Amino acid sequence: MLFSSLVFLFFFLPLTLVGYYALRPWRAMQNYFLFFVSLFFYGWGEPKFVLILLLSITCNWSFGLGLHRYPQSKPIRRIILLATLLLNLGIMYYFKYHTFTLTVLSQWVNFSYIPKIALPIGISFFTFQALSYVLDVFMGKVEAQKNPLDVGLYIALFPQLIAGPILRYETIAQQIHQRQETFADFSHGMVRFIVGLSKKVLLANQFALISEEAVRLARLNAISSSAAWVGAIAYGFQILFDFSGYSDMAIGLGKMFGFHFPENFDSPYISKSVSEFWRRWHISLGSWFREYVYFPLGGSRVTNQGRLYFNLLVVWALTGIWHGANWTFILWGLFYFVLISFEKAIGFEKLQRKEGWIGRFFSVLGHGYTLIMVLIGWVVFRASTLSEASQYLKTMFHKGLLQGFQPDALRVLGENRIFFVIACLACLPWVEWRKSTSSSLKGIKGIILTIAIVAMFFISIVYLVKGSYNPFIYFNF
Amino acid sequence: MKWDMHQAGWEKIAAILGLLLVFSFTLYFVFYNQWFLQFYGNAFGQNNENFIENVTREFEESIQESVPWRLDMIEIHGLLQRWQDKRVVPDVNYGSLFKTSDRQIAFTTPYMEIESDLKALEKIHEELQAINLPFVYVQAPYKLEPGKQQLPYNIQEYGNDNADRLLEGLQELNIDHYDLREDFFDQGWTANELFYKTDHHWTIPGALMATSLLVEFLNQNYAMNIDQTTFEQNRFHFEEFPDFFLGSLGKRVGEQYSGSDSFTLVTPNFTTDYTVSIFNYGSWQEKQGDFSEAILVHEYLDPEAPKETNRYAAYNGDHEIIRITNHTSVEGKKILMIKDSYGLPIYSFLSLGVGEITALDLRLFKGSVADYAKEYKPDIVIYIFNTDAVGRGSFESE
Repeated sequence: MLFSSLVFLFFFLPLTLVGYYALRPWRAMQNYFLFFVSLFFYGWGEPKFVLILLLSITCNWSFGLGLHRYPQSKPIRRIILLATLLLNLGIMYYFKYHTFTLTVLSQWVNFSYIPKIALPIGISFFTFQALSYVLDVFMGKVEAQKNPLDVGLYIALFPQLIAGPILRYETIAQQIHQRQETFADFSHGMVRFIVGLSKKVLLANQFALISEEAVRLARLNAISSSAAWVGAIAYGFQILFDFSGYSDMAIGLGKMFGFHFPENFDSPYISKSVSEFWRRWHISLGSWFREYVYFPLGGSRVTNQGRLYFNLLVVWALTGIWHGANWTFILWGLFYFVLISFEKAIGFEKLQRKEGWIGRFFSVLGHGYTLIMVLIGWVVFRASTLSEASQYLKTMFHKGLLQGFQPDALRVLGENRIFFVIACLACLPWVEWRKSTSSSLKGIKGIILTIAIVAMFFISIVYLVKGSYNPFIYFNF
Repeated sequence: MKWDMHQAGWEKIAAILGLLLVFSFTLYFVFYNQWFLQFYGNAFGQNNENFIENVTREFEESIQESVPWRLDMIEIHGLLQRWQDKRVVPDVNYGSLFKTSDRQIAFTTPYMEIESDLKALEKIHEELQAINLPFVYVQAPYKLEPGKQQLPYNIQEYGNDNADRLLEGLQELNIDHYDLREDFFDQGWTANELFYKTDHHWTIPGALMATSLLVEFLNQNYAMNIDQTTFEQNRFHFEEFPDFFLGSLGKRVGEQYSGSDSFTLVTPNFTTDYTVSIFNYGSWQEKQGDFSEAILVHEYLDPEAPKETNRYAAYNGDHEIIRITNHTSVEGKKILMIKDSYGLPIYSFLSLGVGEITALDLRLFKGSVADYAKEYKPDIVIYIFNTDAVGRGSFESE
């Protein structure tokens, strides 16, 4: 079920809220209720994949119990850890990568049949959450849960089930039983949900139309260089507002039920380096890889520089692969490995921190360079094949780049000028700035914001009723 | 973007208003159960292998169709598009709808393979040839004129290209055809005189002009001897209903965006006498009288009816079979017309100059056209379709 669907807005959400708060005196009942409605949420439209989710919950709960039962036996704990990795990554491999692997191998081996396997939505997200639970128990950060429904609630909780933020178990373990719902939290969550919904429906969906058109025309070689840039920028906005919109909705919904999820985005397009970009983009994924892959490998506290780059290579190759079974994702991940390694090697961020004109110069340079690199990355990420990515990039950089804006680009920009202006403004860290200037939101400002939020919500509903392009990009991951 | 947890009370007011909005829709759906009956009928009234997927899909569709104030919301959406001066409006069915340079609403047609269409037309041509029946394919126009830049820059449109390739294929197969598009657009009429701006169909006066062109072609090529003067404009009464019609495309984008159309009712100002027989769902119905009584369906012309009413269907909508017998021309020719919705004013007007015309709609008629023609024994069989029908298997019959 999509958050940005009428069924969710007018049925699932209100009925879940009523049911949840009707059970307020009984925390355990509330948790069970949330678990079962989460299964319903996940099973809507594709019920068979609920079995995969239940399998993941049951097995990981058992592994957690196993670790709890043998706190001192290293061999048994290692066997359990190995089984955890094999099961979770095995499920993920089968649904996400098996067809791709066979297709690649079929260049050398003649397979009689390559299956087409349907991908359970959000499998990468819930698998990583499930892994986080057993890994945190293994590392002794948290106690194992005795009750499988509590593990189930952590893995399947509907706000973050399908597209994150990826919760690490240690950050949420306590909240399962000891959270507090307040009206302030609830209101904040509701407003956050509306902001996320508006980002998705009013911005991401509009930019999706522009970027899809650009990709389609590029395939036909019927697009100018400037229009290809506009298409790439549109995709940059689409993926930001699509994914950060989803995260806003997830965090907002979490708050409405008393949960506090970590932030997932922090105005990534204001970054002055690629390294900074990845501290601001999909923060929960970066944090997961840092915690469970990068640090165990030694992180950056290694004496050998080669080892540092190897660690980075592993993390970025995995980041690429995590996003999907396609060479484009692998290249995209490796592209970031190269950029981040380069920044580390020349101390790029240190240069930016220098006082005076040197610092300012590298900051401005870094901002431009980061935006262009991220945009190039998105072209590769968006493409179906490497050759399609290469063709699109050639159009961007080769085909009359210096000829200025061509009529096709001007038409798209003109037609969508309001969206481009709003999108640029929405990329800025307004909340941070407001906090730093301590400006109050009481009085007339508060009234304006209230009207703006309700209007955004209503207009989003209008767009949903009209019905148009409405997928979530990260559902595929 | 980090969020301040200690913001002022405006969030509470916004949250309450947001919840009120959500729950008002929920309560509407709870207390207004018409949508549920529709959902129940669609979801449980059919056997389906993917039962649960089907139920959830039907549920979502029923909700989407039954949202309270749906048309008002589409109007608000249209108003927002108009304020932005947008010429491309996303649409769930068409992908996008476009405002042309003539301020008309149009959809585009993708590139279509035409081989199966050619095969279907070749098959029927051979079958009719075997019983010595002349056959002609008539390519009706769509509102996007060939070679004219009406769409926003770089929007790809292949409707005319698909039709051109089909006609080239028919030429190679030596199948008679008439490209009505060129003559139609050459008459010097404006786009809004030829086509409704909110609908994909040609206007009724446009269809009358097309009928006249078709008659000229039939007389020249098949010696049909239909009286050409019957279709002269001065032999008709034109009654204009301003701001009267919101066509199928206008409904999708909202009147606030598209505006509305005037509707011109065209009726002959000479004596007519008809029997009209209509076959739908296994039974015949019959009407008798003059053009207005027998052919026109007056409920579509009710001034009290909403603008969304399909006024175009006043010229006797889409039926599996419609047979129009003109008693003032008993010796006249007999025509079998295979058509899409573009054909309905054509057969209505063409009936004025022939003895009898029967029109089959292949979207509803599932029998064999050749067998029907064999039994009916017309003087000619005419296939008339607009460019959007090309490449969609529109010409196939049993």
